Amino acid sequence: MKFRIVVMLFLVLYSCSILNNKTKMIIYPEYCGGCVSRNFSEIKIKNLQINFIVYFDTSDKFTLERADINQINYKHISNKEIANKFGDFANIVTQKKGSSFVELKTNETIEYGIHY
Amino acid sequence: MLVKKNDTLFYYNINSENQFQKYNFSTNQYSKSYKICVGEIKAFYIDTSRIYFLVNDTFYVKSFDLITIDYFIFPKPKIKNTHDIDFDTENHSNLYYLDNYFVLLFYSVDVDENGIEMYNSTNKKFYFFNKDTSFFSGIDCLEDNLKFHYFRYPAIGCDKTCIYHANRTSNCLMKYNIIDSYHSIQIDSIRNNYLTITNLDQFEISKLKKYRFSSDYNKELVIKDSFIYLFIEIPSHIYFENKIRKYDHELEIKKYNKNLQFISEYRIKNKNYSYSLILDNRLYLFYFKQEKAFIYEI
Repeated sequence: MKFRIVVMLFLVLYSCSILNNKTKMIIYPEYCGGCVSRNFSEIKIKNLQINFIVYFDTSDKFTLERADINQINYKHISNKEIANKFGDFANIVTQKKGSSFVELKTNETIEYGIHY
Repeated sequence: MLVKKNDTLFYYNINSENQFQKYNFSTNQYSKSYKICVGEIKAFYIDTSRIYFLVNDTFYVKSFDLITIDYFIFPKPKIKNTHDIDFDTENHSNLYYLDNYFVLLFYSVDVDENGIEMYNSTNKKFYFFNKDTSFFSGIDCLEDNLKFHYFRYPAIGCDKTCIYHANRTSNCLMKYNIIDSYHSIQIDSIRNNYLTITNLDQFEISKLKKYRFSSDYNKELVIKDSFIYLFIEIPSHIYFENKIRKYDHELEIKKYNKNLQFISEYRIKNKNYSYSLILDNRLYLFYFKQEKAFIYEI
């Protein structure tokens, strides 16, 4: 019994640590649609889903559709919350654990070492 | 577009599903057609009885009953750079009719030595076409040729003999006709709160957002009878709320005669609207989201 509890605790802690190590990607509605599509495709093609937690307002049908097409795992956050929690930006920002936000320019695609 | 016929006001438009929409303000009757075509409509124009649109490189003229009156193959322009037909960011029509020609606005994209594509607003040109011929023509204000403009589609109006236009972030209003004669004026010689941005700023949406809302923005140009009305969105108050920059805007409407002589100006606090209409010295601002119409004496 004690062993089972230890194993479960380990699994919970392990999955929490994986979640905490993930890069946050926040999509703000005043974005460039092409940028969202391009970056979601990049995640799918390079199989980077494990590296990211993607946040956006799921009432935004365009982003939701792109996320589903590219099999992106996402978390809902309202647009109002985005501004309050992550600040005043537009388009896409990423944040590696312990780092500050990096805003993607409209001609940029996520790069290892810079954005995750 | 909004049209008054026999004392009844109608709203006509083509939606993103390629359906022709009609709304009768007197009877509250709304209807939308079946898809008028398959493919992406690149440009359209609706007058009081016809719909003109460009799809799949074919130009169509249809009646409001959707009967095809005419069609012809669109004479595609020859441009070396990447290019496309510019669209109106305020969701109005982007096709005009001037001296027996249809008129479109094209933009092109330059590629620098690093292979980075850059939109270059000084490459914007009006493209004139009809069944028989096509050509580029057009001229920008002198200051606009020296300045970068990210916000693409200008505020445009056309009265079948002249095109009047002001770039979104430019202090210059221009009148232009087909034989290349033109006349331009400064919109605001005193305050001039129009922005200046660089070519590289075009990739930074946060920066553009800040510029867009903290400086003057030419929103719409309406021609009614002998007058030109330029609608300008003006930041009236910039403040911070929870460290987030917030903006309050007002609408300034400048009235000119067709020689671009300034006549008067009006300021209104409400800047949100979907469509405007000027009738009998009254300005109607329809805000469809709120199902409201605001009426002002002008």
